[in-house]
Amino acid sequence: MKIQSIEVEQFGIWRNLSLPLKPQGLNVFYGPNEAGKSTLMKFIRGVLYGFQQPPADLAFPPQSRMGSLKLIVDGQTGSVARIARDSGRGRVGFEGLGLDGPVDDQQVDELVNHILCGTNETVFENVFAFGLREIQQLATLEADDVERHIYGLSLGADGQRLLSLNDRIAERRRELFQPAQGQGKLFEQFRDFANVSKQIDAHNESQDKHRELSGRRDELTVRIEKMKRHQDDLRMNLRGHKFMDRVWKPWSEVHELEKELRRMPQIGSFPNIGPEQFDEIEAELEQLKQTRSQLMSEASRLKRQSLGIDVDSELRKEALTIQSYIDEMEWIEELAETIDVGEVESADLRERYEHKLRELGEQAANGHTVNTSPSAHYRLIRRAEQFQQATRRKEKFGKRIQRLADQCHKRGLSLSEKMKSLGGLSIEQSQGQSQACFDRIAEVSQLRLEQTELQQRQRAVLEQLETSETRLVLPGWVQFVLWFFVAVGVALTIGGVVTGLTTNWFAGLAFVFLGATFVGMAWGGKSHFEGEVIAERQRLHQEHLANERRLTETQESLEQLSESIPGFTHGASETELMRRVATWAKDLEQMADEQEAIKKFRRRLSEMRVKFQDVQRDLTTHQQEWCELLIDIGLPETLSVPDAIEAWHRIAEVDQERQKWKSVESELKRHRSLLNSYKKRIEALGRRMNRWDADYSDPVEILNQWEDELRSYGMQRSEKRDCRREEMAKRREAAKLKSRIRDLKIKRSAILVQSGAADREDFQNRASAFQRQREVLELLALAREELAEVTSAEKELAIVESDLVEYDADKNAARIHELETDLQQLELDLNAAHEEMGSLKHEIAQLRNDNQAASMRFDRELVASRLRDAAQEWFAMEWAASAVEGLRSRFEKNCQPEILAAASEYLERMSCGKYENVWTPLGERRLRLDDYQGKSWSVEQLSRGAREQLFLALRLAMVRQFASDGVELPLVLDDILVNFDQHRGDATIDELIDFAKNGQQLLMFTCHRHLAEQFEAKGIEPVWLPEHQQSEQRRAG
Amino acid sequence: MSTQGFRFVHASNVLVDHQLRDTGPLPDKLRQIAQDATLTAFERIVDLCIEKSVQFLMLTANSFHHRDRSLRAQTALCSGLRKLGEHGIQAVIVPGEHDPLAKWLRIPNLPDNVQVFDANSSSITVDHENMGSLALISLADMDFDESEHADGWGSPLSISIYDGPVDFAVPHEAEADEDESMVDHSAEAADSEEAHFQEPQAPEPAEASVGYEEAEADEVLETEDFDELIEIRETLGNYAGDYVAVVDAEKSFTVDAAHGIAHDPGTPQAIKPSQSGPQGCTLVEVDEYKNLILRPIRVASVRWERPEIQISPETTQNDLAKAIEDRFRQIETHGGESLWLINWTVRGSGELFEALHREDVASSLLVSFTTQLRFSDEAHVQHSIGLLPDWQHRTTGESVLLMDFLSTLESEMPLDTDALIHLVDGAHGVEGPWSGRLRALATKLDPDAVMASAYQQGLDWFKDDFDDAQ
Repeated sequence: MKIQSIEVEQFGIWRNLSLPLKPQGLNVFYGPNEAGKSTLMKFIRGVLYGFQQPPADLAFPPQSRMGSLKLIVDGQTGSVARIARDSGRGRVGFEGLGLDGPVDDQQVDELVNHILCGTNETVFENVFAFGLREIQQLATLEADDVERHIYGLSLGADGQRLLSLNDRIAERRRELFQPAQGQGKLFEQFRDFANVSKQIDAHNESQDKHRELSGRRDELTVRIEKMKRHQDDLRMNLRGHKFMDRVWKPWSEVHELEKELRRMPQIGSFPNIGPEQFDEIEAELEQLKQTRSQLMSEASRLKRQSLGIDVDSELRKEALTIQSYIDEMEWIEELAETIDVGEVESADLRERYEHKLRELGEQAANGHTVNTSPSAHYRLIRRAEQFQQATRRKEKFGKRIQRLADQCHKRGLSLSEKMKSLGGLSIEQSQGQSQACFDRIAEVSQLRLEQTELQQRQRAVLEQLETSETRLVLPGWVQFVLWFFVAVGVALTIGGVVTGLTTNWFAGLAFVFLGATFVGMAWGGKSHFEGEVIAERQRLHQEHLANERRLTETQESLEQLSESIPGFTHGASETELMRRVATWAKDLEQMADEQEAIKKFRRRLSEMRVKFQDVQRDLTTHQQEWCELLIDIGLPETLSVPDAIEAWHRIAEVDQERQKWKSVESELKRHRSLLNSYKKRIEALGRRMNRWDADYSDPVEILNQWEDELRSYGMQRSEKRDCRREEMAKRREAAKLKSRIRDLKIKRSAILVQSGAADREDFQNRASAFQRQREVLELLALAREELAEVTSAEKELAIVESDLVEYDADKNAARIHELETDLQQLELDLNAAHEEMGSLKHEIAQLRNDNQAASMRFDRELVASRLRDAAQEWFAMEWAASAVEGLRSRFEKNCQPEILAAASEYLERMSCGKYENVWTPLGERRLRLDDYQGKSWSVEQLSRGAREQLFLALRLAMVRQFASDGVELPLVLDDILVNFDQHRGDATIDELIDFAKNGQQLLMFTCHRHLAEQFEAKGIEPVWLPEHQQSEQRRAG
Repeated sequence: MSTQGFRFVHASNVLVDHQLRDTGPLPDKLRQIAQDATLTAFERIVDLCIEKSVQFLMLTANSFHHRDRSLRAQTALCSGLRKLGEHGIQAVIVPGEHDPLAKWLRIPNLPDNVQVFDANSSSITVDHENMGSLALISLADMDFDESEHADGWGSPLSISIYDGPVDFAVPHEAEADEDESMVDHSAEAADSEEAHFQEPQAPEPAEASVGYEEAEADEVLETEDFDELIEIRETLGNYAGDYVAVVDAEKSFTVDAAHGIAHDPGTPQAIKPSQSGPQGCTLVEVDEYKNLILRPIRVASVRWERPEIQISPETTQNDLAKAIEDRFRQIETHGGESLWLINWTVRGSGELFEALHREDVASSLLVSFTTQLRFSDEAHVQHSIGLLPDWQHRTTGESVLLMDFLSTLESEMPLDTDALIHLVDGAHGVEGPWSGRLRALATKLDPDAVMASAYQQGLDWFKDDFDDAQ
C-alpha cells in the first residue's frame, strides 16, 4: 500500500491539509517544532488503525470526519477515511478500492486488513512509524510480534541442540565439580585424598617415634649395663665380706687347736681303743662267762627231760604205713559211696535196657548183630542220600523228557495242521513256490509295463498312421500339376499315337514318349510325394502289426503268469499281489522255523533219553550199594531208606542202653574189688602190729583209731626231739662262748702291753691323753678342711691374715646387711629397667611390623588415581565444553535470523563500518554488536547514537523483511537523525535514500534544517511544512 | 683393583616400600602383592647378591622416598644391608633426589658394610680384604684428565655417578613411530627403538631362582645409532669412567662413554604403568682387564604391560578377542612376576569401539580375559581396557554439529599441559585454591587421554541428540 496523499480535514492542528506524497521513494518533510509533524504521523496511523481517544477537551465532535488518505493498493487508487465516533477509534470509510456502494463491516474489515497487509497497530507503531522516542527504546522492539521477527521463529535443529547442550554441560559440571557447594565427583575425590593424606600424616609419626624409641632403648641399654656393673661390684663386695665371715670361724678354730696341740704331751702310739672300750672288754668277758654257765645247766635239764619220754615201738615201725592208709581213708569212704550209687544206677540201667529191648520186638533178636558204630551210621546216611539223589534225578529227568515230548508232539500237530494248507507240498517246496510267485509277479509287472508301453507305442503308431494318411493327401496345386502333367502326357500320348499313325511314326513316338514322360513325371512326382509317406505308413503298419503280436503275446503271458500266481484275482495290482505273496512267504517262513524248532526239540529229546538211561543205570548202581550196605550193617536189605535209618537208630539206641548198663556194672565190680583189697591190707597190718582183737570189717573205724594213736605218738616224738635239739644248741653256744672268752682274755693282755700300762687305771689315763690328742688332731684337720673348703670356694678372693686378726663379726654382719639391701634395691631397679626394655622392644617391633602406613599410602594412590580420572573427566568436559562454546559462537555468528543479518549490513553502513555485526546469543533474546575489532557489545554498553542506529537498522531490516513477505506499508520516520553525528547522519541519509530506492515509500519528518538541507543536497527535495495557522487551509509546498 | 675380576650389582630407583600408582582396585591378595612389590624387589636384589657372591651392591638414587616416611622401608633397607654384611658384601649408596644424603644420615644403626656417597666429597673406595681396591666411585666429571685415568691392569674400576638429565624426548616423526611401536610392544621389541633401551634382549628366560630372572649376557653392549640417543650419547660420552652409572633415566639403557660405558639399569620394580615391561637390576661382571659384562636380572614381582590393539569399523567382538589373545600370547614372561597388570589400549572407531564404552560390554570382555588369558596358576593377571579413538576414521552419518565439534577438537591437537592449565583459568566456578589444585592436577594428566575423553564426551552429547533427531 502506498499513500498518494494525506488529506486532513481536521486533526490536531491541521485543518484541510492536502499533502501529496511520492508513492515510492523518500518523502522528506521539514517543519519547525510544533509544525504538526508528529500529528501527521498520528493522523496516518489513526486513519489506518483507528484514532486513539484524545483527552475530553480535545475530543472531536462525533461523526466528524478527520480526514483521509489517498492510497494505491494493488494498483488501484482509492481513499480511506475515518470518521470520529463517540467511543471507539473511528469508523473507516473507503472510496474506490473496489468497494463502492454500501458495504458491511466484514467487508470493511477485510479491506482494512488487506490494505494493512495483516499488520496490527503495534507493528506499525514499532516498525513502520516511529519517532525518536521509539527509536531510543529497545522495549519497543520487544513486543512478541516484533520480537519474533528479530530473534527468529525458532533456533533450528542445530540451534536447539546447542542450546540443550548448555544444560547438559551445566549438569555435567555439577556432576563433576562444584567446589562452592562442595559437590561433584572431583570434589569428592579431592576430599577423599585430603582425608587419606591427613590420616597418613597422623600416622607418619612412626619414623620419629621409632627413632625416639630406639634412642630410649639405647639409653636404657646403657643404663642397664651400668646397673649391672654396679650390681657386680656390690656382689663382689658382699662376697668378700661373706667370705671373710665364713673364713674367720674355721681359721680361728685352727688357730686355737694348734695352740692346744702344742701344749699337749706327745704320745707316739697307743692302741686304738679307749678306756671305755677296755672296760667294755672286761665287762663283756664277765658276761660271757655267766652266760656259758647258764647254757650248760640248761642243756643238762633238757637231756633229763628227753630221756623221760616213752613211745610205742610197734607203732613207730608201722607209722608210715598207717599214715598212708589214713591218707587214703577219704578215698575209701568215697569208694564205698560210689559203690552204693553205682549199684542203684546199674539197676536202673538194666531196667531201661530191658524195656527198650522189649519195645524193639523181633528186631531185638538181631539187635546185637547190627553195627551201630558211628562209621556205620555215616555210611548209612551217605548211601541213603546218594540213593535218594539218584532216585530224584531219575524222576526229574523222566518228567523233563515227558514234558519235552509233549511239547514236541503238540507243536508237531500244530505244524501239521498248518501244512495242510500247503496242499501236500513241503514247506521248502512251498517256499520255492512263493519265491517263484515273487518272480512271476515281477514278471507280471514287467509285462504289464511292457504292455503299457506297447499300447502307448501302438497309439503313437496309429496316430502317425493317421497323420501320414493326411499327408498322403497332396496339396491341391500339386494335384493340379500332377493331373496337368497326366493330362498333357495322355494328350501327348494320344497325339503321338495319332501323329504316329497319321503323320510320322517317329514324331508320334516322340510325342508318345513325351506323353509317357509327362505321365511318368506325374506318376513319379506322385510317387515321390507319396512314396516316403507310403513307406512310412508301411513301416508303421508293420510296426503296428508287430506291436499287436507282441501285445497279444504279452497278454497271454500275463494271463498265464497271473493264473499261476496263487490268490491272483483279476484286477489285483502287483502291489496287492506282492503283499499277499509276502504274507504267504512269511507264513511259510514261520512254518519252516517251527519245523526247525520241532527238529531241535526232537534232537534234544533223543539226547535226553540217552542221558536218562545213564541216570537209570546210576540209580540201579546206588540201589545195589544200598542193599549191600544194609546187609553189611545187619539190617534187612528190603528196607527202604527211611525205614532202614529208623530201624538202625532204634537198634543203636538199645545197644547204647546196654552198653551203658554194662559199663556201669564193670565199674562197680572194679570198685568192689578195690575196697576188698584195702580191707585185707588193713587187717594184715593190724596183725603185724599184734592187734588181734580189733574188728577189721570196718576199715574206716580202725583207721580212725590208728590215726589218733599216731597223732599222740607224733606229739611225743616231736617233744623228745625238741628237747634234744635244744640241748645240743645250748651246748654249742656254750662252746662258742668259751672260745670268745679265751679271745677276749688275750686281747686284754695285748692292749695292756701295747699301751704300756700296768693296769687298768694306768691304761685309762694314757688312753685319755691319747684320746684328747687325737681329738685335737681331728678337730684340727676338720677345721683345716673347712678352711680349705671355704677358701677353695672363692678362689678369686684373697684375705690377708691381719684382716682376720682384726676381724669384727658384728661390723662385718652389718656391712653384709647393708650390701644385701643395696643389691635388693638394685635388683628391683634392674627388673624395672628390663620391663621397660621389653615394652620398648615390643613397641619398636610393633612399629616395624605396622603395615598400616603402607596400606594407607596405597589407598592414597588409589584415591589419587581416581582423582586423576575424575580430573581427566573434568578437563575433558571443560575441553569439550570449550569446543561446544566455539561451535556456539560460530553458530551465533553465522546462523543469525535474516533480519539481524540485514540489520548488520544497514548498521555497518550507517555506523561507517564501526559496527559490523548484530547478533543475538543462542537462546537469548537480547542483542549484541560486534565492532570492527571483533569486540562484542551489549546494547546497554552502546552510546545513544549507536543505539539509535542499531534500532533504526533493525527497523529497516524488518521493513525489508515485511516487504519480502508482501507487507507494503509506508515507513514514517519522525526526526530520528537528531542524535547522529555528521558522518553517521550522512551515512544514514544515504542508507535511507538507498532503502527508498527499492520501492519502499518512506516519509521522513524533521525539524532540523541541516538535515533537510542534507537531504536536499543529495537530491531529495524536502517539503516545507507551513507554520501552523488556525482555521486556514493549508496547502503544503 | 683385584687382579682376578669381581662382580657387583647395580640397582637404581629401588624406592623401597613406595606405593605403586594406577593399579586400580585389587582384591586383597593381589593388593598385598602390589603393596609389597618394592620390598619384594629389594629382597630379591639382596638374595641375588648373596647367591651370586658379588663383592658389593651399588644402589643409585632413590632407594627410598623420604616423603613416605616409611619405617618399613628403613627397616627393610637396614635389614637387607645387614644381611649383605653378614655375607661379606659391601653396599654403596648413592643418594638421589628423593633419598638425599641428609635422610640417609638420619637412619639409625646403618650397618658397617654400608658406605653412603657424599657428592661433596671426592670419592669413595670399595675395598675387599682379600682382593684389594675394587672400585673407585666418584661424581661424573666432564673435566677429566686423561692421564689420571687409571687404565692399567690391577687398577680399580672407576665408577662415575652421572645424575644429570637424561631426556628421551624424540622428534615428531619418531614420536609417531613410538605410538606405532606401542601396538606390539614386546613382540617387536627386537626391532623397535625401545628394545635398545632394555639391553640385552633375553632370548630365552633362564630358570629363575630366588624370584629373579637372569638373561643371557652379551659383550659390552652398545646401542644403535638412533636419533633420540644421539643426544644422550653425546652427553654421556663426555664423562669419564670405566662405568658411568646413570642415576635417574627411568629407562634401562647402555651407551658408550668416554672410556667405558654408561648404563642405567632401570628400576627394579615399576611404580607406574608407563614403566611397562620387565624390570630389574644389572649384574656387572668385571674381569682383571676391566672388561665389563652386563646381565640384566629381572626382580620385579609386579609387571605392567600396555599393549595396543587397533580395530576398524569392520572388526567384530570375536576378532577383537582373538587379536587380544594373540597379542597376549606374544608377551614374554620371566617367571618372577606374581602380578601382571595388563592395560589393553584399544584404538579405533566403529560400532564395536562405541560398544566398548558400555560398562556391560567392557566388563564381559574383561571377565573372559580373566578366565582365558593367564600365564600360570601362580601368576595373577589383572586386565583393564582403555579406549583411544582413531582420529582419522569417523563414523559416517554423523550430524554436522558433531563433525564440527570433532574438527574443533582436532584443531587443538596435540593438546598439551599448558592448554589444560589454560582451561582452569577459564573454568566456571573455579577460583581460589581450587584453581591451584587443578593446575597441579593438569600437570599429572595425559593430554591424549583428556582429548580422547573429550572426544567421547562430545560423541555422547551429540550422538544422543542426533539419534533423537533421527
